Amino acid sequence: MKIEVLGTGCPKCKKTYENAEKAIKELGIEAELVKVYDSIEIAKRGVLETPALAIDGEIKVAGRVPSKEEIKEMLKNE
Amino acid sequence: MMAKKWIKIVVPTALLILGLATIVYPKITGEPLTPVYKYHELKEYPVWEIPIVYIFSYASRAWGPLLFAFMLGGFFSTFISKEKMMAYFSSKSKRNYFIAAGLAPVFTVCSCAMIPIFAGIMMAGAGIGPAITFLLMAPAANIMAIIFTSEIISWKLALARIVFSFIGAIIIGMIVAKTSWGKKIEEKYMEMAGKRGAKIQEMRIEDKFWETMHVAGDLARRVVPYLALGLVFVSFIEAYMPREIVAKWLTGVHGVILGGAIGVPTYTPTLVEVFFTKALINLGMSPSAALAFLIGAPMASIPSMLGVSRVVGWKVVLTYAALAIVVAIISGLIYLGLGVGL
Repeated sequence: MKIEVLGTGCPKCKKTYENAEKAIKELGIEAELVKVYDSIEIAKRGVLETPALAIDGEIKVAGRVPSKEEIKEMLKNE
Repeated sequence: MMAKKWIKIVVPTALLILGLATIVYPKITGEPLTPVYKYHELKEYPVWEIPIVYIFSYASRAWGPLLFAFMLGGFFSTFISKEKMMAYFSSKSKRNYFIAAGLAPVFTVCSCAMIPIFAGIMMAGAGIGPAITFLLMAPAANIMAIIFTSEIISWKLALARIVFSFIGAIIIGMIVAKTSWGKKIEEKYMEMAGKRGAKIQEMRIEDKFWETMHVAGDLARRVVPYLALGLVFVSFIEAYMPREIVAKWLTGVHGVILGGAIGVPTYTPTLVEVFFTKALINLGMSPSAALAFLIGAPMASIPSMLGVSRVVGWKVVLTYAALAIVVAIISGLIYLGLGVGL
């Protein structure tokens, strides 16, 4: 599973990354967590507001910080 | 569970209404809703007291409008889907310019969110013109800027700021779209056109309401510290800047030209431009010069130009910035010619 955090380095993006990190750890699953910094790449993905979170290429959340619990919920449903 | 749901809906709504009440109440009764702190001659206070008195005075007057602006920003950001809005930009037509200029004030309340939307408009297929229109309109006439121009300076100037920014941003967008360098950038982005905005999972209604608080809090954290810092500088300007200089340089036709031009080097963070202008007006700046500054400064600010240049290159940036100054000056001159005043 590939989880991407899209954001240009704002504090909210960092928070999203941390929450995703914790969610993966607590679920004890195998997942690759990557950051997408480039604003052109972010726009290409159809994201207009950062931070955004994508699971396996699909944008799940954009424009807000998803909580750890929320990310866990999303990962379980995959 | 039910109680929690209602709290999540009621608290943000109540805060929004409270903010609105502080703006509406004085208009009806002629009295402010909460006590307002007034200072006397600023110069007569000891130096270290000047910024404190100044900030305290504005805090007592502006907390309500600030609360309203932040909460409204939160509601717009949460309830208006930017992804859905992008569907309007899927083809090239003149109508896009008006949509871009009309949506910009509600689309974004903070300049940091502008560049992804700017790129998004081009990629949606609307071309560079409406994207530039959006980029210029958003900082010059966003909801926060307008609420504060109206509350701190005057509603006439706020209205003029919206109208002239609207017309100016559309004209500049159209001109940039005609330039060879503008067309070149557009071709690059049109190759990617047709990319749809991402589909995002919908939140529950109570979570949406609650999310407005997060957005408002985030906005406050980003705006208030710079605003406070900006007010420290502005307080000294109001206290020590000689009236004769302001009256000499910032009035009449040359005042308008200067007002339009000084906006570029004097980058003022969000909202500070309004308080800065108010201080200069208190010292004798003419309303027409103030309008030129209020349009020119946010449209052609150096930090936003730096950010945009990475997406579209310097030629486009310099073109729109130069045009923005011209538009700012022309707007000021029209306002002067009409003799509207404050």
